[in-house]
Amino acid sequence: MTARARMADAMDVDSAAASAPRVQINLSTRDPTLSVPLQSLRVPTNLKRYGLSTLVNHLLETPKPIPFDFLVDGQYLRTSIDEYLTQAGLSSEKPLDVEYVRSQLPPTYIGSFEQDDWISSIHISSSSASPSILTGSFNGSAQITSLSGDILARTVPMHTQSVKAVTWVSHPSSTENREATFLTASLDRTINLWSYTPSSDPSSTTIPIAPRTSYISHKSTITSLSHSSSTSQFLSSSSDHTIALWSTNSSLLPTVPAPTSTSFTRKRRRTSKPPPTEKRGPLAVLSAHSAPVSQVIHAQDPTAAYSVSWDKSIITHDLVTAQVVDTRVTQHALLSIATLPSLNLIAAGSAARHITLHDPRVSSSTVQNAVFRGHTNAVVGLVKSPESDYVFASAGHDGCVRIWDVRSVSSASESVERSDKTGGSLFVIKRESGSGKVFGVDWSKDVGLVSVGEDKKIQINRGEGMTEVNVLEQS
Amino acid sequence: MSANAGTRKRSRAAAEEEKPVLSSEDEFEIPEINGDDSSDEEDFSPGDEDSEDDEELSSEEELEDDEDLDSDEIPSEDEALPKTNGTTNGDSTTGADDEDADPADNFKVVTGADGKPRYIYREINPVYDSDDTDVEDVNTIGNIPLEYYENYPHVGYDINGKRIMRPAAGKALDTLLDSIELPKGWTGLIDKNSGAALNLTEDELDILKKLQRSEITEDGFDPYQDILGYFTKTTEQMPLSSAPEPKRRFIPSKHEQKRVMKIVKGIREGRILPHRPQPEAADAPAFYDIWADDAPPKADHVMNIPAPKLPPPTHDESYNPPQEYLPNESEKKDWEEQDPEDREKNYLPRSHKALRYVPGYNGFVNERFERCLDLYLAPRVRRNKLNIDPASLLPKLPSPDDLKPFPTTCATVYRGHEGRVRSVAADPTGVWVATGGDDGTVRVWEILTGRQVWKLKVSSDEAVDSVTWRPTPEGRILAAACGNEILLVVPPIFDSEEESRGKEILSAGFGYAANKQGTKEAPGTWAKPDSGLEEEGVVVVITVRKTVKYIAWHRRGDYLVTVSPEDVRRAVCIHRVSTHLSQTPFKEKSVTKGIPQKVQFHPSKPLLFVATKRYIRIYDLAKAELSKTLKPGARWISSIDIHPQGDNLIVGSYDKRLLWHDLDLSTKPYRTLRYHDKGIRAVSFHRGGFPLFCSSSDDGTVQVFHGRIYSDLMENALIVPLKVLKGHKIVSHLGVLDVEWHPKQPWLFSAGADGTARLWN
Repeated sequence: MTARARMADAMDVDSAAASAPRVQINLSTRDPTLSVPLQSLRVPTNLKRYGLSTLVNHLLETPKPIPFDFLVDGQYLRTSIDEYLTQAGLSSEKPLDVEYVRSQLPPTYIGSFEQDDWISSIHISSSSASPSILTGSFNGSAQITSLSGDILARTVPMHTQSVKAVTWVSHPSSTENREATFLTASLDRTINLWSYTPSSDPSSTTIPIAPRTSYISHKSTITSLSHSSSTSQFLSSSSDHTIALWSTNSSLLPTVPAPTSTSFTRKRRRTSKPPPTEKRGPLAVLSAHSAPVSQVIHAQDPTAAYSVSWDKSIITHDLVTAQVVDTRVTQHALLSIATLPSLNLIAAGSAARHITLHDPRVSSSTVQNAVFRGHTNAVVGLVKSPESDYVFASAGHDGCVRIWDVRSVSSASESVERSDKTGGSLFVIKRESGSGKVFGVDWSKDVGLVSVGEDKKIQINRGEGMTEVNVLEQS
Repeated sequence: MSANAGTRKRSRAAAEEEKPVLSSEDEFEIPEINGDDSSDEEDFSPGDEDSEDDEELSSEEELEDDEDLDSDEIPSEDEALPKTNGTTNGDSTTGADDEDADPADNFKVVTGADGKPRYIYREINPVYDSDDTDVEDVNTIGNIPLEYYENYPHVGYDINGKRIMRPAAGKALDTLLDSIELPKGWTGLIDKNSGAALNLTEDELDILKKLQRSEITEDGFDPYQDILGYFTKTTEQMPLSSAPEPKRRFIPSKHEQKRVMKIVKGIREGRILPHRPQPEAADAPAFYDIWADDAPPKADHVMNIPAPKLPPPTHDESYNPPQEYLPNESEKKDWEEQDPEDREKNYLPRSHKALRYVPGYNGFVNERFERCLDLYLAPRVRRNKLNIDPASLLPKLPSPDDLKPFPTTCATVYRGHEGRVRSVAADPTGVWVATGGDDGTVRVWEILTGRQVWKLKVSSDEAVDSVTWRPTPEGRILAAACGNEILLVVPPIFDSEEESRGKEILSAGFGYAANKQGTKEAPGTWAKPDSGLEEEGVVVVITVRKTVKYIAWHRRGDYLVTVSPEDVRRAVCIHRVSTHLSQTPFKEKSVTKGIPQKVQFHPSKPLLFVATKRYIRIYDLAKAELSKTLKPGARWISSIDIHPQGDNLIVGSYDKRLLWHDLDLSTKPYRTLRYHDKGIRAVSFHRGGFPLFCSSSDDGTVQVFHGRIYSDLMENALIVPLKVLKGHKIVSHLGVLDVEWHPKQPWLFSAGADGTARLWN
């Protein structure tokens, strides 16, 4: 079938709209697997997203239709082409550049699991067979929850205060009873390494987990953890303005004496005696920031890390030499960071309710590439979509998780003087419980978009039909 | 002035209305008047004869009578009488012999050809001065153009019906000769009366020449004859009048001067022109343009305000309006039932076939009257419209968008306190925030998440009125005032190292204080807390006499000053942490002159600011003297705060005012900001490098301002209102009780009477 014949075929679909005025569109995509041979078409202006999607599917000869979304000038086409042209004041005689992307399906509410206290942090294990959700709670414990809502394991009271960050070190797997390990970081300035062996019997009750190692260096609240499996190292950021570099291999770390117990810990100790653990110090302490560090993450190259702080800066660290590579200063205190590796961009969420995109490479001269506005309170969590390189989600203290598309940015009139692009969110996920801050968000292919917050609930949302797309991709 | 115009208008309108009435009156009255006049004439004319004054009048009457005589009527005796008298009168001046002559002698009556009596008048002896009115004119042909008789030998008829022959025209030769040799006095004109050539005599020509030259025609008049000096400058021996020369003879006349100046002025202004064009209006017929829109425009004058014009007639006022404008039956009925006052229009649209079928409008006079009444009773006032751009009156302030960042929304609500939150304080590292409330607890919260991390129940019945962190980076010490106790606490949320450092600082003075004990009655006693409190982190409890309402730290963290307004004698108390000693700088009430409300240390100098109800006094602690008194002019000062640079001060008062003092400028406030609806409870400057300050009030709002101070001393501080933060609820007339800025970020903490504290960013 030639391209022209295919086009004629496509036109037949829209034969009903044959009488409508037509506009020339130039189709393009950033996904090489989806590119169409014929890029320029004349289509009726009354076509909407669905019509265009059918057209592209025709051109691609896909065995099963893929839902597509269409971006015109950085905006998703939500009306007919005609209405868009009228709204934008464009002539239908000029060719229109249309970029098509796989549809981001609206994440629907799947369910939520309640816990005893506010949940501060979340990390989903990436083992696809039996994903388990690791959450840190404000009551000082961490829990492992299965997708069915069963609490698989809970840590013994080791942290005297809230757990602020959790991360899996080695992911659990139900098939082989391999020992899984994870880290928790707390407001009581300690990080603990825990080992957890999933029980083979799914009906068994909650396993208490004992700590293996305590990592002691920070003088104030630990705000985030980032683990790199390739180097077996992890990073922790703290409100005492420092970032500490640790290794999961305890033998590499120096032994430190246990900290003299404070009055608070003494009081707690009396009630429950925590198990003794080995105390280890850090490999290196990076004190580049001048204000509480809010998050640190590993770069794609695990020897580099990015950190954001209340001092408004994004700092790129070289972990081998423990030196600062680059410092980007923004306008507002930053609270969260995520990388978009394929785009060489990092997204930073600020206390001033927006997310900015930055190019962390030293060569790039622009401070800021785009701004995403929409949250009404501080943005405290950012996570990249597991499916798309262009999509990420953010958690805000306004009680919303928002999904954003990097491609959907436009030079809106209001931001012309600031010469950066602004984007709007694709979807907004509200808390099912109604209100309460969202403290953490994680996104996995298998589980979906999981967020935790002040409402003591783990809320799971998933874009239905995403799996179909995955199947197509694999075929 | 409006009334004037109104009356004018009205009078005109009235004239229009009343014209027909007046004319009818004229018709009736004028004949009567005429009748009176005629009767008077008849009655009094004989009497008038003798009066010399009326002579002219009577002669005029004679003339009129003469004209009357042209008719065929025979003059009556009465009428003839004055005429004869006239002649007799004239004669009487010359000859007395005629005086006695009987008037009947003047004529004799003969029977005429028609049998009627005919008067034959006596010949009149023409003497000098005699009346020559009836001397026959040279020409009796009457006022008939000579051309009519061109073809006839005569030129007209005399009184007896005889032809008057044309004067003999010369032969052609004579004419030729005449043309060759002009006769004396030849003019080339033809005498209109006689038809002969009009020749003028030498004398007449002479007169004409003189007239042409504007000379006096009288013969022998010498215009340059010698002046007879009636009045001379030389003093006469025998003067004509012995009266002294009046002064006015010597001085120029003021009256003339005035008139001359008036003319000069007129000439200068161009009002008086040498050749003013004569108005032609005199000749133009005086028609009144009844179709003109309005009265002729009056000169532009302040007192002249033209009446507002009536709206032009619309379609439904047409004599034949379109069908849709005509009312139907129900509308007609409605209109008729309505009170005339309530009617939207005072007419009903009606349709007529032609304009000539339109009946007279009976409401015309009434309507005009109403209109005049409207114009008269509603005074017209000339309003001066100021053409000022309102934007130009506003001060040139930068837009709040350019002054970002500043807090705009509520980011976190700290919930947990039962009852009011009295005080809020941010930790110098900017990670924690402490609050104290009416439930007698001190709580410490995580800033962003709003999680309470520590709580201390100080008292079950007394409120925690004030909490403040020690402002130094090392040694995290929180001071809380509850009742008459001041607790110095190291909250167990810090690193063990920092905690022990804090405890060390606080416990260092225990031994020192013990040595000094007993020398003098100290205003405050320092003691260890009971075990329960010590467990929670309280290190020292200072007990003073009366309830402490406010605590402020010195910047170095060694001193703290407390205020107990109830203690009249020892309201202000300074406590030293390192030696555990308390002292009262002002021993007597008279020193502070009023109940202290708030105290504050200067951020860099050894100065203590004490705010009483009305005044703020600045004491130099090094010299122990009063250095300055500020008079903000507020009735009751509630709070003060000093700019981190130390030269400016903001004062909040219960009478809703926020006052900015420049300490270098004056003792009076530089700026008064009156934006709150209720009394201000707390004011605060940002100390972390942002030019921000704020005020909190009982109206439940926190107002954020931009307050930039320039290093140039000549430049005044720039104060821009930025944002009103609304969120706190008002509980029993109390709103936001305390505000404090985050030490480094542009974030604001507020403590509300609704039991919550809030973070704004």
